[in-house]
Amino acid sequence: MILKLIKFVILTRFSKPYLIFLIIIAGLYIIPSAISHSNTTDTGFMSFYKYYVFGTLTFLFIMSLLTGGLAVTESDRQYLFTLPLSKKDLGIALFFMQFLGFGISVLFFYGVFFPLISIPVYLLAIDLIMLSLFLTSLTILATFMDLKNRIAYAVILSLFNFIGIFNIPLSPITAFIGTHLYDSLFLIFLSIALLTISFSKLKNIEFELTRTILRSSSTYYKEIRSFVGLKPISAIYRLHFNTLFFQGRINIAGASRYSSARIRLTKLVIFPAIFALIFLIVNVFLLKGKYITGIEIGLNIILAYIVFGLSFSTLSNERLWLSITSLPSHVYLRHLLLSKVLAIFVLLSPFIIANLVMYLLGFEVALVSAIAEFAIFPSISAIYTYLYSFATPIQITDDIVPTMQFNLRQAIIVLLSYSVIALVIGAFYLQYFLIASIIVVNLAFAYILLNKSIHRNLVNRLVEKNFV
Amino acid sequence: MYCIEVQNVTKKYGKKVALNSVSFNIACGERYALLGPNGAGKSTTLKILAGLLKPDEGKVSIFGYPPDSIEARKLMGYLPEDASPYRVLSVRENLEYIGALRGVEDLNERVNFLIDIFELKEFEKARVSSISRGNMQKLALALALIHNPKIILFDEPLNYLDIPMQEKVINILNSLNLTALISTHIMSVALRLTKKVIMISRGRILWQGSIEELRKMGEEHEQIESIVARIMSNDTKTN
Repeated sequence: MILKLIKFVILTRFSKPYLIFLIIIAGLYIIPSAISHSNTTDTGFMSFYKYYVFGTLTFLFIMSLLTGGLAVTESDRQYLFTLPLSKKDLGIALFFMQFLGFGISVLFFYGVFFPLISIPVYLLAIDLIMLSLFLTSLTILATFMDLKNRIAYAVILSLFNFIGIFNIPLSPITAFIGTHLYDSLFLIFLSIALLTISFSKLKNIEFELTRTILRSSSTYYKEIRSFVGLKPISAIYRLHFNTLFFQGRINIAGASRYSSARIRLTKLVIFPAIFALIFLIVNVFLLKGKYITGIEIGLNIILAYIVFGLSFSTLSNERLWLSITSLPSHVYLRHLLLSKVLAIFVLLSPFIIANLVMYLLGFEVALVSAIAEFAIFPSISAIYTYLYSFATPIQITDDIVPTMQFNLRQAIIVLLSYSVIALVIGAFYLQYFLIASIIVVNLAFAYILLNKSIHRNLVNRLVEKNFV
Repeated sequence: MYCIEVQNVTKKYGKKVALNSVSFNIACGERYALLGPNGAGKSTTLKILAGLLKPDEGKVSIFGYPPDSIEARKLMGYLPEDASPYRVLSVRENLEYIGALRGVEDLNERVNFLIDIFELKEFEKARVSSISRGNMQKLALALALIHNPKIILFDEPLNYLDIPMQEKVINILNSLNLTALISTHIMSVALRLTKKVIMISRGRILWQGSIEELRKMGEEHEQIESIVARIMSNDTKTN
């Protein structure tokens, strides 16, 4: 019964072609790594990879703690939870599904680097499975913590990761960057311990989510934006350039809900400004340019992921029944995309400035970084938004996690982001590659922006998928 | 003069035929109910008329203009089923934003007027995602009417509204000199808001005429719902 339930829950989230595709991709990562076992000790790559693992793993830990809980969809609430099934079985099935979800994320983040790492592939596979278990268990335990505790654990885990950068053993990241068996054994120990605790708590987890709790009172904005007296185009920029929308699963009192939030660009830019300043100080004064290429590549890959995330949001909060019935699709979407491109440029500008300062201080490679952040990333966000419309984009229309099944098309679109990562890495080693990338990306961006039929087809495609 | 013209429109979603050579005209000032079972093609018809979907074949015009033209947009007000306004904006911000996109003159007065008649004053500054579904529907109706349209294309406009508000919306819509195509499953809504009916099933027009003509098709004292159900089920049996 439990196996049937697990299979059912998985297939409500992931289509069969998607899962088959995933197995093929995992095979493509593992088989070449197993055949040509790398002995890479290239300090350039490993220094980049070390910071990359630190950045991504810290991100995954923080997200697990903050989102918390099991991802319960609308159809679970309306159908699955009404079936005569034990809470424990439901918990296990949802846990397993979440484990698979984390496994896919982890594979996406690290799988592509398998052939370049000197760790035996079987050990890497075990490490990644253990990491997925660790993250899943963390989401369960986070449900029982208040916000202060979650933040405290996020800080502790981030520091725990950070010590790994200095090759101090027994940090979660050392299993992925070191060659010592005991690092992997330590990760196995951590994951099993956390798994045991989370399983003991699983029966107490609250799945149900009543709309009445969420809608018991209305939330009022203190600051209201006015659009009176604005021309249509100015209204688009006032909303979409000045404000960024975020959405994601959060956990309240043991139950998950999907939530959207808005943040003013002027406030949001403070965060990249702080990180850029730290980046500058660490590289110039602490590391004095040591491993600069690796660190710059790592930074730009993480920035690329952030740009992808923001690109998804561009469409998720859009309402075509209001916007496209008000303005021609090419006018509205052109300015919507342009406003987001400009907003992303503003968010990246602290890093552009930091890199230019580093270049002036004699770190030549920082110029490549500044150019990529200036001339590639903002434009690529518009391309990615456009490509996202081909996958089945999620329109946020309710507080609960929308019922959605990841399909093959989405998997391919997500994997296309690897081309950007390849582009980033290539740009640091080949000057011509950087120039060619700038030309290709910006030509594609201009084509998307100026071609009327692209916007018309995009609207048609979205509306056909009931994205209204 | 026809305000809405639909000629031989076919629309497919992949292999599934949603509309199969559909044709009908609506004269200016006429109000039609679009009736049909689930999956009949009602919402697809409205989306094509609103300029959101392209038909694979056939021609659609709004007051002689293509539905995605600026002229047609100024004339039309569209409300989809389960309409969701911008969730991260407040009630007033939604109205002002869409009013600005549509270039509504005296926007502040228009927004105040709509907030007042749809009884949304209390929620003016409320984040849309936090208000009830009924208030969200009232806001969606206000958004569809923000530019004072001459033609309305509404999909289940009274969904989620309480009875007093349903009455109020019926009175508001009836007081306006509008051309209307209203998709609904509820016959009483069709009777209150419209005078004529287009019946659609499996992407084809099944019947078109006035409500009086529809009544005459039934037996004495037969409920109109029963007549509609019979016509629809006859179609299912014959195919």
